[in-house]
Amino acid sequence: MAAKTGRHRLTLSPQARSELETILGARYVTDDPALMSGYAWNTGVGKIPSGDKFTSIWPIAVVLPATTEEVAAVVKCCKRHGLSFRPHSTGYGSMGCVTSPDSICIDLRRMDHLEILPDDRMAVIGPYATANQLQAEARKHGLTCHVVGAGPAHSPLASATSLIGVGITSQFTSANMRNMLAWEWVTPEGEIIRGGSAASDLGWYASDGPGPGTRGLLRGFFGGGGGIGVFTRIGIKLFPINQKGEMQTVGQVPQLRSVLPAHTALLHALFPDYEAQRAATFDLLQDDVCTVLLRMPPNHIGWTLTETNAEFVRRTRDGTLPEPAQLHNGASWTILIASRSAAEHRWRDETVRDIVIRHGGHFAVLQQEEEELLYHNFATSQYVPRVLRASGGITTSFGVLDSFHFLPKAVEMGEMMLAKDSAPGGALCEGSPDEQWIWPHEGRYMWGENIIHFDATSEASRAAGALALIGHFAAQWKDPVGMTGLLVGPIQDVTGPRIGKAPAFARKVKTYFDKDDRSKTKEYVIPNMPPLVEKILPALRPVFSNQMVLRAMSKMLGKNGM
Amino acid sequence: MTALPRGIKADITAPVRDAFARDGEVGTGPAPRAVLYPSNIHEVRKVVVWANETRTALIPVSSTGLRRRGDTVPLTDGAVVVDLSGMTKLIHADPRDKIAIIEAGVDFGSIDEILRPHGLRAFRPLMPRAGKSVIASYLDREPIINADVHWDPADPFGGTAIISGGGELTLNGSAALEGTLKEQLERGHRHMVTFGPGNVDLTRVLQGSQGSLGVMGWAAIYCERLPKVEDSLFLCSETPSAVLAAMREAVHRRICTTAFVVDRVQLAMLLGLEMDAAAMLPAWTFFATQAGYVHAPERKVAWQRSDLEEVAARHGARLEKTLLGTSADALADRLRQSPRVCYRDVPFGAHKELFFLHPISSVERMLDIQEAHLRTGALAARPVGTYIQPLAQGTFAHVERVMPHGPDADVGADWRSLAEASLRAGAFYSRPHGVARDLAFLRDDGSAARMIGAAKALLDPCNVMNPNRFVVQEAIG
Ligand SMILES: Cc1cc2nc3c(=O)[nH]c(=O)nc-3n(C[C@H](O)[C@H](O)[C@H](O)COP(=O)(O)OP(=O)(O)OC[C@H]3O[C@@H](n4cnc5c(N)ncnc54)[C@H](O)[C@@H]3O)c2cc1C
Repeated sequence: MAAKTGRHRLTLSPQARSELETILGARYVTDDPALMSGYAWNTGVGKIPSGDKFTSIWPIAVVLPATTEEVAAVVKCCKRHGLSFRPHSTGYGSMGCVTSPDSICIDLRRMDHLEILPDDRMAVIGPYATANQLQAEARKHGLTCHVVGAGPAHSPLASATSLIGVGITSQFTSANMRNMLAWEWVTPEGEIIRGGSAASDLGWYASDGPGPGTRGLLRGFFGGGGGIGVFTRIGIKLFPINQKGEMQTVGQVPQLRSVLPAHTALLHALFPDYEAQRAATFDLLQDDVCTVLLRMPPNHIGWTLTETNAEFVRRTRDGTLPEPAQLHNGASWTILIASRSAAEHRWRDETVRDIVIRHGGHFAVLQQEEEELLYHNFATSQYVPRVLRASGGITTSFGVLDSFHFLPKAVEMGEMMLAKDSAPGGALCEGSPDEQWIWPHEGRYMWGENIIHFDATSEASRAAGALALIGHFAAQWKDPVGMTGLLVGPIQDVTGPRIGKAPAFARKVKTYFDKDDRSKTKEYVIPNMPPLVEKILPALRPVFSNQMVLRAMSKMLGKNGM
Repeated sequence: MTALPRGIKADITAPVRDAFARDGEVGTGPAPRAVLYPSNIHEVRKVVVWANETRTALIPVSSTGLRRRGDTVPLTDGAVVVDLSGMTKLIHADPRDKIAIIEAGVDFGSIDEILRPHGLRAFRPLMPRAGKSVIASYLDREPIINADVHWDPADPFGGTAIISGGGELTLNGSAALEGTLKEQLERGHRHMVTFGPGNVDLTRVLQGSQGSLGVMGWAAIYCERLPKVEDSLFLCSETPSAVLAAMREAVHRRICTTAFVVDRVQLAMLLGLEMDAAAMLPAWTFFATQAGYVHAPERKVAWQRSDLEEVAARHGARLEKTLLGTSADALADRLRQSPRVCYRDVPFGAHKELFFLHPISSVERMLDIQEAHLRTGALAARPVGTYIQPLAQGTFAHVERVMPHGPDADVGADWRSLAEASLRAGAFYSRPHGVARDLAFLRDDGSAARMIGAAKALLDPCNVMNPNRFVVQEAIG
C-alpha cells in the first residue's frame, strides 16, 4: 500500500516500486515531484480549475510502459498493491489527471506505433500517435484522419476509445467512435482483450465480431474517460482528400495560412436569420455537395483572423473586422468544397451558391489571406489555440446531436445560458453570448457545442463558468435540443432512466470488469452505486434544476475546481 | 409446464411450431413449444419478462419465408419463438432528414412501397428475399450495397428501442430522450444517432448477436432519397485486379452509390440467367450506380460518370451498358426487387454460401487460394460465384462465395473444407453462421469468447435469449 506524505500526496511502498521497476526498468518509474507536477495541473483548459494551477490530487507515481504486456503487468501490480490508475495518452487538456491520490498515472507516450495502410484507407495506431503525426503520414497518401476540435496535439486513440470524438470536419470525416476499427484493451484487472479482426490475429480493420459488437459495452457516446482500463492499439479509418503530400503553408505563427489546392473553394455564407440558415442547411446536406460545413460564432472568426487580442479589440471597436466576424452575422456557414475534377468543382460550387442565394443568403467577401487562414485551420483543426486565447479558461456545454431542425433553438438556448455573465460587468469573459459551434455529421445530423470562456484566475468567473455548464443540463431537461452528448459522471444519473438505461448499464459494465474501481476517473459512471441511490437521484432533478441550488453548486466548483 | 404469458397471441399447433424446428440449410432442432406474436414493443417486453420469470428460452424472429442460417432454430428444448413479423408499422418517415422509424416486422418486400410516399427508399443488401425483416438484416450486419454511405458497421441504424434479455426497455442513441416517442417526434427529434447515450452503445452490442442478447422492437433507419436521376454501369475485366482497383478508387472518392464486384457466376445469378450463360459474361464486373437526388441531378451524374470513366480507363476496366441483353439499369431495378425465392436457389434449387470480411487490398490473394483449393477438390466442376462488397466506405470488404447446386447434392463436407482453407488464408468470419458457426472462433485468442460472456451476463443474466447460439457460450456453460 501507500504511505501518506502531505495533504494530497501518498508515497509508493518500496514493494510496489520495486515491482514496477522490475516490470518497466527504473528509468520508467518516477515519483519525483518535479516530474509529477507536469501530470498535476489544471489551468482551465477543458475543465473548471480551482484557484491553484496544480490540481489538489497528484499521482502517486508516473510509469511509462512500452508494450501492451507491460501495461497489463502494471495494472496487475496496481491490483496487487491496492492502487488505482489512470491512463494518459497525450494529456492534452486536463482530462488525463488522476482523480485519487492512490492512482498511478500510466503515461503511454512510449507507445507511439503508427502504420498507414493506404490501400485500405486506414492506419494502426498506439496511444501516443498524435493527430498531427497521423495526419502528416496519411497526407503522403492523399488521406487525412479525423482531427477532433481539440486540435493536432491530441491522441486519436484516446479520442476514439475513450473521449467524445467529434470535430469540425465531421461532415466528411465522421466522428472517432465511428472511425475506430479493431481494438486492443487491457482490462482494469490486467487481462489483454482484442476486439474485431484483431482477436483472430487477422489485422486491425474490422471493429466487430465474431458475433456481437461487444465494443458497444465499452464505447458509447462519451467514452470511458479512463474509467474502464487502458486501450493500447486500434485500427482507425482514414479519409481520402483532394491533395497528396504536404500542405503549402505560408505566413508565420500564429497566423499560418495554407494555399487552397486546385478545385477547392472556401466560402462564407451569411443568412438573414437562423430559420433561413436552417432551411438552406437541409438543402446543403443533400447530394453530398459540401465537403465541410462549420458554423463558428462571429467572435471566434474574429479571433482567428486577428493576430493579437489587441488587434481583435481594436478592430471590433472601429468596425473593421470582416463581415463574418461581425456579431449580427451569426447565421452563417463557412463552407469548404474540395473536388477532384473541374467538372465536379463547377457543379459543387454553383450548387452551393444557388442554394445560399435561394434561401436569401449571400457570400461574404474574404481576402485571399483570410480565406487561406480559415482553410489552414479547417484542414488541421488548429482553431482551439486561436479562438480560446481570449480568456485562457474554457470549457464546453450542450454537445447536442439531432436534426438541424434544432439549429435556431440551439443558438438561442446557448445564448440564453451565457447572456447575463458575458455582458459587461458579468463574471464571464466579456463579449457576445453567441458561442455555439455547429457542424453536420456525415451529411445527416447536427452537432452543437456551446463554449464557455472564463477567467481561470477569478473564483467568481470560474463559478459563472460552472453555472453555465451545469445549468445547461437543467435547461435541457426542461426543453431538450437533442441528445446531450456531454452527459458524464453523476449528471447521467440525475438525468435518469427517462433517457434510457445507459448509466445503469455502464455501471454494470464497470462492476463486471472493475468491481474494485481500480481504473479511476470522474468522467465515467459513479461506480458501485447502491440501487436505492440510483433510484432516488433522478427524483432530485427538480432540486438540481433550482437556480439557488445550481448557484451554490457552481460556487463550490468555482472554489474547488472540477 | 408453465402457462404462456397472458394477453399475447400464441400458436401451439404442431405445423406452426414445426416450421421453426428446421431451416433450409442447417437442418433440424427441437420444435419450440409455442410461437408468440406480440403486437408492439410493450408486449415484447411482457414476453421477455415472462421468460425471465419462467426461465423460458426465447427465439426472436422477425422475417418470414425460408430461413437458412440456422440462427432461429432452437438449440434447447422448450423454447418459445417470439415472432415479430406482424409488427409492420411505419412509425415515422421524414424526407428532410432522410430517416424513418419502423417496427421489426417491416420487410424488404414492402419497405420501399411504404417509404415511397415520403420520397424515400431503404438501403438494401444484395437481393434480400421479400420476407426478410429490414431490422433483422441490419441487426445481423448484413452488408448494404450502398458503399458510399456505409460509414460504419452500425449503419444504417439511428436510435433504437431494445428490450434487453433481462427484460428492460432501453432507448438507444438519440432515441434516449425526454417524453414519449410521439412527443419527441412532435418536438422535432429524429433519432438520427446510433451510438450512446452516455458510455454504452447497446445497438452495436445487439448487432451480430443473433437474438442472443435482446429484442429490437423498433428502429430509426437512415434512408436514401428517391433519386431524380440514376445511371448504372458495368465495368468489366478479365482479371479481378482491374475491377477491384477501379471499385476501390470509386468508393474512396464516393462517386457511386451502389458499388460491388462480382464474378461471372454471381452475375449470371443476379441477372437471372442460366448457369451456362455465365461463360459468355466478362470474368469480373464492377457494378456501379450513380445517382442525383436533388441538386442539378443530370449534371451531378454527368461529372461522376466522366470521373468513373477516367478511373476505369486508368485501371484497365472496360465500360458496358448492357451484358447479354440486360442493361445495367435493369439490374439496378432488379436489385430493388425482393424475389420470393432466393436468387441463388434459382439455377439448381439450392445453394451453399460462405461469407467473411477481408481487406480489399489483399482479397485477390484470398481468391487465388480459394480457387486453388476448389480446383483440386471434389467441387472442381461446379460453378462457384464471388461477390465482393466494400464496407465502411471501402475500408474492408464482405467477401461471399456462393455455390448453386441441386437439392440432393452431397457437397457439405467439401464446402466446409473450403471454409477451413479460407480461415487459414485469413478469412474473418465476423458473422458466425452456418459452416462458419464454429470456424469463426477457431482463431480467437479468447477475447471474443470473454466479451460474449460479458455481454451475455450483462444483458441477459438468466440466459433466456437464444441460448447456446454461439459455440463459445456452450464452452462457457
Ligand atoms: C481545448 C479542448 C478542446 C477540445 N475539443 C474537443 C472536440 O472538439 N472534440 C472532442 O471530441 N474532444 C475535444 N476535446 C477533448 C479531447 O477529445 C481529448 O482531450 C483528446 O481527444 C484526448 O486525447 P488526449 O491525448 O488529450 O487524451 P488524454 O488527456 O491523455 O486522456 C483523455 C481521457 O481519456 C483517457 N485515456 C487516455 N488514453 C487512454 C487509453 N489509452 N486508454 C483508456 N483511456 C485513455 C484518460 O484517462 C482521460 O480520461 C477537447 C479538449 C480540450 C482541452
